[in-house]
Amino acid sequence: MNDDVERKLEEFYRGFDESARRVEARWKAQPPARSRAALTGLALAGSAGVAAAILVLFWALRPEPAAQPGTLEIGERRPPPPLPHVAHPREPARRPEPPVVTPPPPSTETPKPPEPRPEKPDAPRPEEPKPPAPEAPKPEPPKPTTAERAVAVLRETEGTFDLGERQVRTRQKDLRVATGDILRSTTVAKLVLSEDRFVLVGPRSVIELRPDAEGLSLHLDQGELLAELVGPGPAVRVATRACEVKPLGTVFSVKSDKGRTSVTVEKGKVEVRNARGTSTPRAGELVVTSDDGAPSVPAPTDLKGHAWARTHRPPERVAYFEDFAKPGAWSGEVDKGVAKGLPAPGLCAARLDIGSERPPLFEAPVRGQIQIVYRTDRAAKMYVQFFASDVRTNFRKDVQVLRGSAWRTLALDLDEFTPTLRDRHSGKVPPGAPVTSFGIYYGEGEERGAIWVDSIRVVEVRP
Amino acid sequence: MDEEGLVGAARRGDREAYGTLVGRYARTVMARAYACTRELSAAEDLAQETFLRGWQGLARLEDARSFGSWILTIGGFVCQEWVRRKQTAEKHRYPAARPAASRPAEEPDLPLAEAVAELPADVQQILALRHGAGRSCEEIAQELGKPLGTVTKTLSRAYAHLRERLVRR
Repeated sequence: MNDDVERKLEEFYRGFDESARRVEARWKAQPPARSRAALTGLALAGSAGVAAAILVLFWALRPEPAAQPGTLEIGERRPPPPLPHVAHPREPARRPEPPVVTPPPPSTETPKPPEPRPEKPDAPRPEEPKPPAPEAPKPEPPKPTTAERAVAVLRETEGTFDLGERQVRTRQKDLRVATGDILRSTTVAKLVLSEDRFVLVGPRSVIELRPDAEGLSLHLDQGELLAELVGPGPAVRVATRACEVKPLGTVFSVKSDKGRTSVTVEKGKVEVRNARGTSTPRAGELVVTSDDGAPSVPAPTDLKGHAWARTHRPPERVAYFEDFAKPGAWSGEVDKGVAKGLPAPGLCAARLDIGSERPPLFEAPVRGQIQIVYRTDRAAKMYVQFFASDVRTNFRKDVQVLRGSAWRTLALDLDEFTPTLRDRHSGKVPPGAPVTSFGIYYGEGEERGAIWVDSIRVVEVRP
Repeated sequence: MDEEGLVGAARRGDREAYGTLVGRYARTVMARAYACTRELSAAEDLAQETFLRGWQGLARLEDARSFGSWILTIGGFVCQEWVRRKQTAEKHRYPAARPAASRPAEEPDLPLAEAVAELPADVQQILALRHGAGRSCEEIAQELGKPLGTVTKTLSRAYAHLRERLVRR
């Protein structure tokens, strides 16, 4: 049905072809008439020019001593003529002289006397050309009245926003921002700082940008932002009226609303500070602060507030990946390019261990999944276990695997893992917890069998 | 030469370049003006006036890539002024029997023009860019700084409106 309307519209617009050609031909045939206002302006300018020329002629022909041609004097060097007010009418006559500046003997007057001292108009000047004196009133280099503004270059920006007087409507590369620039977003704006570092500014937000030697400081006056600062690059700090947020290698959001600021951390941790105290929320936690209070104690949150940024971020991120292509922090056997579990008599048929203390293998994401590509030679029970060092607890998940020569993918949500020692920790894996060892244990007790693992991947799913 | 280059050349005073731009957008501007005036000759005058103002105000165009939407916006203002002038003139004139409309056969579809004229100016602009200038929805979204979904949804609603209006007639 729409096609019919669209076809009619196509015909409708095509119906103007003839008229359009006439308009184009009229344009090309006639010189573009300037507007009447412009013509009037030209006429006025012409009249003014003629008047000025007459004035020039008049003053040039008058018998008064005039300045030597070819020199441009700064101030009065000769004794002033008897008429004290002659300097004013002479002014227009001198202007059209060629501006050849001879190496001027230092002038005795500056255009602006330092103090407006009332002088007698008839009194001759006490001293005229005084060579040593001019040093002081010599035209001083213009002193900057304002401090130089620091400038930073944003690698790329997306979205619709105003930056000071500029209107940014499409994707921009290498956008220069200076201290004091105010960014007012209409839609979600993305400010890319480096490869893996960017700031998403929520719709209808107002941010003052303050680049400095240490990086980029963002003063959030209104609205919200989400900073993803994973890779290397310039430091970013965020401040609101209520607090200052110092990221410690992390992903977090800041929302400022009527003197109340909430900081939500998705990855890593941040330091929220104001004059009344400091709080350090970690992944999956929220801190609220206000103009007149200390930052609250970190409380768990579900990150639903980050939903506005969802379409501007990749849906998932790989937090850890091991494909056993080369020797690494894992113990097992290499069999035809993949890892094969080692037998562990009394414990299980085969096990594959991976471990790294510093840096940890990965930090437990708020929402994540462990994906294992494997195959086995017989059906058996298997469990996957990892150790979260900050709560000093193993988390384990039992599964039943099938026998088969085909590679299968086992996907386990992190939420499905349970602590092995409930007296140390109860509940789910704490977000942000560093995982220092990871193991796959195949078969029970004295069972026999083998497991081959092609890869292990930990995927962080975005809220 | 691409559009950005043409606008740049026109800014430097190149009338040929601006003439090329006129050729590109004359149909679109004409359609917009005709939707307002419903008279082909008046629409041509308004289109001419629009391009003249565009030429005089080229220095104010910030983004050379959005010349199309910019000139259409000027066209909208010119049309509004024309309507105001016409209303004022009719207020101070004795009502006279208007001659029967004797439209030449080649004049575009008047009912469709009237239906288009009922749409808000920004919707008319999107329609003109889509069907008059042959832009894709992505290009329109980029040019107008609107989300793609907004453009497609606006077009879809415009089609629905036009369909309803044409069926009612």
